[in-house]
Amino acid sequence: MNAVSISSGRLYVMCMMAWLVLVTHPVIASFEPYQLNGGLVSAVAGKTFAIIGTDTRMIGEGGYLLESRNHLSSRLWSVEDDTLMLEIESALRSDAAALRAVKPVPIKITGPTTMVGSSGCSTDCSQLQRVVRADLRAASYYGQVSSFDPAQVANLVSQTLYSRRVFPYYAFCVVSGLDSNGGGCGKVYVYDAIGSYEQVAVAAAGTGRELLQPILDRLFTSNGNANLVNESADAAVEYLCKAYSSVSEREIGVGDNLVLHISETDTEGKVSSRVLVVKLKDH
Amino acid sequence: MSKQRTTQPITTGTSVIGLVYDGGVMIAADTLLSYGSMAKSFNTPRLYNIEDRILLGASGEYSDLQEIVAKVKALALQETTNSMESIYVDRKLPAKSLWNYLRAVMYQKRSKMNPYWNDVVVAGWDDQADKPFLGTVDKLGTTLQENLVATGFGGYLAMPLLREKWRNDLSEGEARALLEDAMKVLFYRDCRASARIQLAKCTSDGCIVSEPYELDHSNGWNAPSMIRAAGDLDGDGGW
Repeated sequence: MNAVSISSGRLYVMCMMAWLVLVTHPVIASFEPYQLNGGLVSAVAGKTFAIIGTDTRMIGEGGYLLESRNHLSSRLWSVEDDTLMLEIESALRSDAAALRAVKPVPIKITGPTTMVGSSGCSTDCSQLQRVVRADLRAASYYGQVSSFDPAQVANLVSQTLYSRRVFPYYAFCVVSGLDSNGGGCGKVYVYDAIGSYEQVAVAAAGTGRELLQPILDRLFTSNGNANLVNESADAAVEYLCKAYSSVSEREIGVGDNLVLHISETDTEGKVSSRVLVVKLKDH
Repeated sequence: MSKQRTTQPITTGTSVIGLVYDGGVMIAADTLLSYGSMAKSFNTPRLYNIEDRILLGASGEYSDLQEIVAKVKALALQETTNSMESIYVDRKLPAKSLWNYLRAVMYQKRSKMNPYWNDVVVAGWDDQADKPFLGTVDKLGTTLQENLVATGFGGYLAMPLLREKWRNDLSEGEARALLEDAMKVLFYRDCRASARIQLAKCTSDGCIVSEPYELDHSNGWNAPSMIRAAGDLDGDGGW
């Protein structure tokens, strides 16, 4: 037997073995650490106001199971340790009908105006909330920050998200607040899950973002300063209500209630906040 | 030996369902332990009473539930014996604190890609708000506080029925009837469920977990939907 036929025989056997290994390797069951829990958060920055809003629907495993119509705790939160959103969630749970009215509900006169909305994987959003609040609490205690300005908070959120670059927080966020240095004008930031962010006039993040963002882009106008809208807070509220109603028609992860948190600066520079809860059409 | 991770549940329990009624919270689960498609054990309780204050139940991997309960019982005991104030005040672990603690545990485990493969239901009386508390934590650490909860198959089969019939002023009897009805439906249509169930309730006075008992399903197989359809009386039964 000559050398060529020996080596081609061996080559054939090796190819055969490689193919066998490839087709017979066991399929390993694996654990998926993420889950899409729905939700659409958005924010608008105006000359004298900042609005942040979210729907309250939470969907579960598989994308079709509706877990809650009154979920707020991981979706919309203040950077300070207050329980406003938890109280609203609790009120929705106990007597939704009484709460859902497009009527101003003055909650606080002065208080936290910097809010974060996050949508995506609810457990990661909850964890992000805890980490960001803990960092701000510590920084405030040690005198490193004296006020929770949106620009500072925005940067912290970005850093926190990036710190988990290799195993991301599946949290798509928006940050909104009133800038105490800028004469009380609104500032809004939008993020992806790994911390890249920019300041914008109108932001949306979460399921149904593709449906909401174009509507808001068209309804709102801004001249000159591209990071502020010309509309008033009341007009902004009306636009957001209409836009969310539209999105909830066609996006299963969005619906039930719309919760809007509005912070405004009046002509004397005094800050006030209010929360509106709007019922979205029953789907 | 290399480190191993949970990739699938082996010995499992099926749905846990629960609701808040006027004056308390009630949860229910069957007592079947499944080993894949084998019915391994018919009398395995999955609802626990922690320090007579908190109810804990879970679906999913049973061994992980046993681990969780051991950790929780240790935590509750620590709260009443080790904490700084415990020599002066009668301090007991609040249900909401336990719920939050479990969230942290489940999240940490999932972040190591080695979860406790459970959907846990935590129920109790919230002394601060003077209201019943009902919440869930899943294997990722997703928390949910609601008036009606159902894990696993219960989310598909029982939840629509519970949502239809629930009111926030249900009496204890009505709550029990509603849960039993839902458990009956689960027995009919969840092939990993049994008719032997356990009920547990918690009010401001404390918690009670019932002994397992059989649901009366003697009439169920006569339901119109269970009778063989006329369409396949001819031929071999195929369709």
